[in-house]
Amino acid sequence: MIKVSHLKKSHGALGVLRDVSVEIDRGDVAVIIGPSGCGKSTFLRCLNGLESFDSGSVCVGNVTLSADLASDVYRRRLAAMRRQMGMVFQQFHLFPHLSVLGNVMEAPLRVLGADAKATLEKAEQLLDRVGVLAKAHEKPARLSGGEQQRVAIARALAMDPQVMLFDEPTSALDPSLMQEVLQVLQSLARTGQTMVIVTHDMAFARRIATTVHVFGEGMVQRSGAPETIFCDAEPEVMLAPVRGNRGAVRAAMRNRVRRYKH
Amino acid sequence: MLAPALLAVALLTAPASTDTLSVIKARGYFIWGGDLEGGGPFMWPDEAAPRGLAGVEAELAEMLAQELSRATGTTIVPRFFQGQWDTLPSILGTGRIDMVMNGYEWTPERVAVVDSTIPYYVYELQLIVPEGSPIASWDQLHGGPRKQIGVLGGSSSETYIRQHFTASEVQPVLYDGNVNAMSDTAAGKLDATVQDLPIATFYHKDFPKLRFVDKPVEPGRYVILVRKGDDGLREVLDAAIVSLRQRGALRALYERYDMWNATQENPTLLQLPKLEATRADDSPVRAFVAKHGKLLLAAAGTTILLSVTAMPLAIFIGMFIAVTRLYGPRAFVIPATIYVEVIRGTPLMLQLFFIFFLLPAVGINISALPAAIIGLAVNYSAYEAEIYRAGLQAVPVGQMEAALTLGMSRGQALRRIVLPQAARMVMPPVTNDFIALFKDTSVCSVITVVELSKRYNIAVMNNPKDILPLAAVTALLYLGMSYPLSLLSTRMEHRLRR
Repeated sequence: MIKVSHLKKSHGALGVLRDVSVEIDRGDVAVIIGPSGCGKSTFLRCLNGLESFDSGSVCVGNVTLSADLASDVYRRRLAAMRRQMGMVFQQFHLFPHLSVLGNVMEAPLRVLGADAKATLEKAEQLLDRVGVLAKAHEKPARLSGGEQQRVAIARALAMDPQVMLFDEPTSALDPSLMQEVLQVLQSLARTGQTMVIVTHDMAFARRIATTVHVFGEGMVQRSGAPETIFCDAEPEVMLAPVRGNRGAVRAAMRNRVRRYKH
Repeated sequence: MLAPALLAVALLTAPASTDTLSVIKARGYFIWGGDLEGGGPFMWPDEAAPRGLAGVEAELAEMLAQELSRATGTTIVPRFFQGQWDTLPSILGTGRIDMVMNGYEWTPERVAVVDSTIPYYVYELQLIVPEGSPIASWDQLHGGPRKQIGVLGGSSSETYIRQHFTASEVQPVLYDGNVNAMSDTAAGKLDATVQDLPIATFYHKDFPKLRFVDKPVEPGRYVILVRKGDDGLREVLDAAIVSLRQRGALRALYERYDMWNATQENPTLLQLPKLEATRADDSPVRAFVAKHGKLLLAAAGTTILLSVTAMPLAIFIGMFIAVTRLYGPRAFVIPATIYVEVIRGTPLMLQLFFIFFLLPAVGINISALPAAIIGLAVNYSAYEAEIYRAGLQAVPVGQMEAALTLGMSRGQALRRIVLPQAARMVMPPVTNDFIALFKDTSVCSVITVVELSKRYNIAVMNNPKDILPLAAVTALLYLGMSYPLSLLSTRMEHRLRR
């Protein structure tokens, strides 16, 4: 479904993504973890072109995006690529001037030119599914954080994306509200929705992931099923700061492996 | 708006408390008021002339000073005071100057407020047409299609045109300066212009394409204005004028300026007319409404028309410029920036002048009202652009990103997501600007658009007695128009914020 090959991106001399290759299958719930500054959010934003990359390629479905494309081809493919993906942000980014229902209906109506009545019915179904139908006519500012995030999920789902991208979807929420969002994500996973989730919440990752990719120093350090990843490495390994402490993750992991063997 | 009203109070409450003549004798000079903007042949700045002032009235002031010196036995010199022409009588009332001598004609309305000397010059009104015009006489202005005639706003030319021709025959186009009316006639923008003969003669050399047709009409008297009750000064000035005339000094002066003609020797015109006993008005309020009501309301309508058309245009252009500066291709960013800086950095009045008087030189002819609307819209668009730029930048970048990830194009995201949010944020400053623009419409009178302020000025000039009620009514009209605008925008703000 998604194939990322040798993705590289740097801000000046600073390599943010140094060489990232990842494959994600249809129906996968791929969770990307790693310490802050490891490039995991940048990676996600490269997937739908919110950030450009310097070299390598991103292939989603049958669309391939690479840095060396002519600008008009790049733009056309990027549009096609975005149509296959929905994105949910840490800070929700709901449109404050539209009602909850308006937020969900905006893109189908404006981008797809969908029929108004059908769009309304579908939007109501989606809001029902994420449990905020009762607030359909409120402005987003009147909703709790958890409710806002669930509306944001419904808004992205309204475009029938092949892949859903989540950038720290629960980081801005306190634990009780987090739970609501987690339930929505789990039910979504059960329907076979392909998802890529960036988080630094280990418990959350463990509960929902089919595959975990551990990022560090702008590279994928390890990939695997959550059971194997979380048995091997201790949480502090994941959270080891990378900047100013190059190689810490790798060193820590080597130590851990050695200890395990002995 | 307040200033004229205050001046009016000064004018009406300050009769000559002290004898101005003895004050002049004591200080050795008299102060006479005039407006250099009026130009030739009356006065203009000239480094070579005595006291840096040339023109027939400047020379007359010197001659009067000599006469006064001889009559009083003390040396008296003239001192010039620059004031805007239509406010000169009010300045006289404040006591800052001793007299006004600047082509002011004698009218019964005027001498109800100030006193006047005998005439020092008799002028007439000259009909002037562009070369090749079919109009060859005053009579030909009657009937036929409606003709546009340029006149100085509030002058006797305007009064004459309005009294002798119907609105369907002749439309007076009101100018602030004589030269602009003459140049627009020469350029064929007007069918004709009516000017005081001495002014027309003086500037004729600059506009060789203008033709003087038919006889001059409607003789009027230029007089010197002094404060009401300032009889000592008035009598000395009267005597000085008589003496200059008898010695032939006046004739010599006028001949040098090409202003002499037989009318100057008409004995009845050299006297002031008898004031007819004004019949007691049945009701002053009814008289006031009959005289000013319709004209003031129509002018208020023009003010509203200018505001409600210019502001939406300004917002539209401003939004376009702001979006270009923030999101446009690089090649357009610099021109948009230059646009904002140039428009913001130059006065509205110059921009209006440019559109109305200079663009015709390159073949772009825009009539007054659209020119005023365009001028206001362009001027305010620069301010709106900056407000919108700030508003757009205040919308979190995540909004654009969220819209893009939903598949919207940048243009769609701007139109549907970012702009509406920016619009809400900029409501208060834009409302502010709307009210500012509303009042700035008064500047449009420089390009012959008669809006409320201009109509007020004209009415005051012709009816100085009515200045207080006129000021009050005009202020009320402005307030009556701007307050509902404030209410409306407050309500809109509330609705948008919900």
